[in-house]
Amino acid sequence: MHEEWSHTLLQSDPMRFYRAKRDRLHQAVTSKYTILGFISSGTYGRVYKAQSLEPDGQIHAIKKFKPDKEGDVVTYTGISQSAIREIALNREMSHENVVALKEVILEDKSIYMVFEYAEHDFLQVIHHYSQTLRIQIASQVLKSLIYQLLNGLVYLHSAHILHRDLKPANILITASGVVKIGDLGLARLIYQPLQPLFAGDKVVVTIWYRAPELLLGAKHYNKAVDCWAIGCVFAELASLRPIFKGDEAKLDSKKNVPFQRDQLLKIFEVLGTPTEKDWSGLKDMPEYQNMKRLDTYPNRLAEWCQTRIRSQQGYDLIRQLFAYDPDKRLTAKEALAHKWFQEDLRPTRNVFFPVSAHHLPPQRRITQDEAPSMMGMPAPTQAQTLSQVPLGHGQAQGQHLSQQSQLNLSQQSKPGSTASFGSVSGGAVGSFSGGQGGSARKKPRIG
Amino acid sequence: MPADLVPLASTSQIERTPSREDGIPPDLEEDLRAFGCKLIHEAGILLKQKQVAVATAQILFQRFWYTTSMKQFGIGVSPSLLFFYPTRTPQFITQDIGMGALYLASKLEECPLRMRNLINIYDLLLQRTSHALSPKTKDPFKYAPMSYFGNTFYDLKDALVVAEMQILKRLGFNVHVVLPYGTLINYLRVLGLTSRKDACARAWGFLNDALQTPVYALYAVPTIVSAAILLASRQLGISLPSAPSQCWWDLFDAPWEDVWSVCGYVMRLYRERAPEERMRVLRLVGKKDVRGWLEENAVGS
Repeated sequence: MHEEWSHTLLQSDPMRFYRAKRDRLHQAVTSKYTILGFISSGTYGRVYKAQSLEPDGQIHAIKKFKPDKEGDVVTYTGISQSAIREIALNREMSHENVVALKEVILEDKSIYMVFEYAEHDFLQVIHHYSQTLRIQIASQVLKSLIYQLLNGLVYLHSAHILHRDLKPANILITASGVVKIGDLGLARLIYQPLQPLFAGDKVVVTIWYRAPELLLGAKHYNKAVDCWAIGCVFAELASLRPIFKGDEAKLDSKKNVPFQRDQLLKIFEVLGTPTEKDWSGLKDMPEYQNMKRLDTYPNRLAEWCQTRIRSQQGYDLIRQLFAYDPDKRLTAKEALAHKWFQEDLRPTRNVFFPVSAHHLPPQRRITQDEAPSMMGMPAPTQAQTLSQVPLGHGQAQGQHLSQQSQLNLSQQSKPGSTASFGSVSGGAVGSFSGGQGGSARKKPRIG
Repeated sequence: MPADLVPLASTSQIERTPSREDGIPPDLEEDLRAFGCKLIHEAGILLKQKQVAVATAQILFQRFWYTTSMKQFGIGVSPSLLFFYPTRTPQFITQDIGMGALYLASKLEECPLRMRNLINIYDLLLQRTSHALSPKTKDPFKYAPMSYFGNTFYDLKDALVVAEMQILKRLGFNVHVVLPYGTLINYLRVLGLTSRKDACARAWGFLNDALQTPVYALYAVPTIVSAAILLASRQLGISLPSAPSQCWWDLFDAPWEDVWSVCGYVMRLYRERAPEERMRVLRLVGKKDVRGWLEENAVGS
């Protein structure tokens, strides 16, 4: 039946026949990259370390999204909300301190995002210092880390992007010591009003880095939530442990959003209970009545900083990042211009510049994937392969020019340029849910 | 957001849309696009979906047809679909794209829909369309729900995820959409029209109706908003500074020719149509008629 179909197709629609053939010849992920190992997994899917098979042999991190679930039965519900949002934002961005997306590969109902590789992340560095070296991070290194982090955030904020999930595990560092903000799965453009973070998505935001206005139930929030998170990351780098390590109150059975009592208490213990003098909008917060029932604490931040940050200017920066009133909180741009960064010793381009070689954090551990079905298996049959959507950034673009001359790269949109649609308009069209007809159709049936 | 950051169709995409290249007459393409957008709108209302998601879906839907032919997509895209729906026609797949656009836009706007709800609503809308065409159209319409675990549901579900991915792929994941509502409010304030409730409501309505036309894929938001204000102010007899060198649309960097062209697109929606012409697009949702139409067309091309 298939043969007959392709024969009539050749006559009735040769273009389509051509596309079907071309798609069969399309390359799979595993034919473009060698999977070196498994890095980590999360709610979104799994991340692998991979080497390009191009002559340059560049190392990449490939993020594979797992299919979304709907209801109790596992069914494929299309691209995950965070994946599409991450891709849509990432393709528009280019900054030294934001992790770069090289390309997106669609293959057999899976989405692979190919990122530049970063050897370290803040969480790993914190762990290295607290567990292996058992020393504080040198203040110059600390300053460089925060400086580059802020530099990346200034870029995001100036592009009207909120990250919304800044935490040590999401902030990467390359082997050459450049900080890269990663994981934009929760990021979004700033439109008004913003959806409450807890609505609509299944993703969990780590509560330790959540700003007080969110904890108090604010319906509207802004860039200041990212600046609060940077204050938390700053404090964590200085003390090598989360500064506000509260327990998260879970949604109850009716999906009511609970009052985050413990997290607020952890914040109050250090920063003191907020007053209307600090924050004029405080009494209008939805959870204000709940908050008033908590014990009151004095502000002990200066004391906290004394042994940990050891710099008056450093204390001043963190104090302003921890302003309760979001409108009084330092913006990323203001923070970047803070005196602390102009004081000796100044931040360095390579954050590890002052670190002696034997104190450098180790390379990222990779393991054999315990879920081998995800990747690293023998290359999928060619017919399963779908298409590749190249992104209009330098090198990746060059690679595609040679491989896929039919892609209309002149229409690739660059940030700030007039874009027309269909940057892949000449690209693959064909065998989407399985070129070999029905056999690729997988659907769980029940009943 | 500056106008040049909004993706717009290129001149060649406008001059020769993929559907036109395949021999689909421009007015038929226009009607099918408008019908698809109407279905998105109706589905959005029935699903109580937010208007931002509905409008985003309509704009993505319009953009899609600058990369893809209704014919080529219908028989060109997913062979698996053809196997399961040998009778499935391009227009049916047009509906899939509409459904896919609404599904995708809902994720983009962080108000995701359940697939089953979306599929049921589209099934209802299409049944209603066929009822309007059937000889028994005088009888009251009665919706026959699909079986919960039936093949129809799973087939439509597959078609939905395929449609969603097709949109992403063909638009190269370039799915940012700028909606016009904030700009309208801003301009009405500048023009001192906010006290005229009728003018505000009418301009707002023109913006929504314009979602059934390709203008959001062709012109920057300030131009479209200016056109909505122009239409509203002319219909209500409100005079605004229009003498050369101080035309109000110049204030918003909207070229007159473009504003006028947008007005044309919108007003074409309301033109008198012969009943037959009006039914043509509905009839093309039916399978046999489209097959007939396609065959005729194939002979021609």
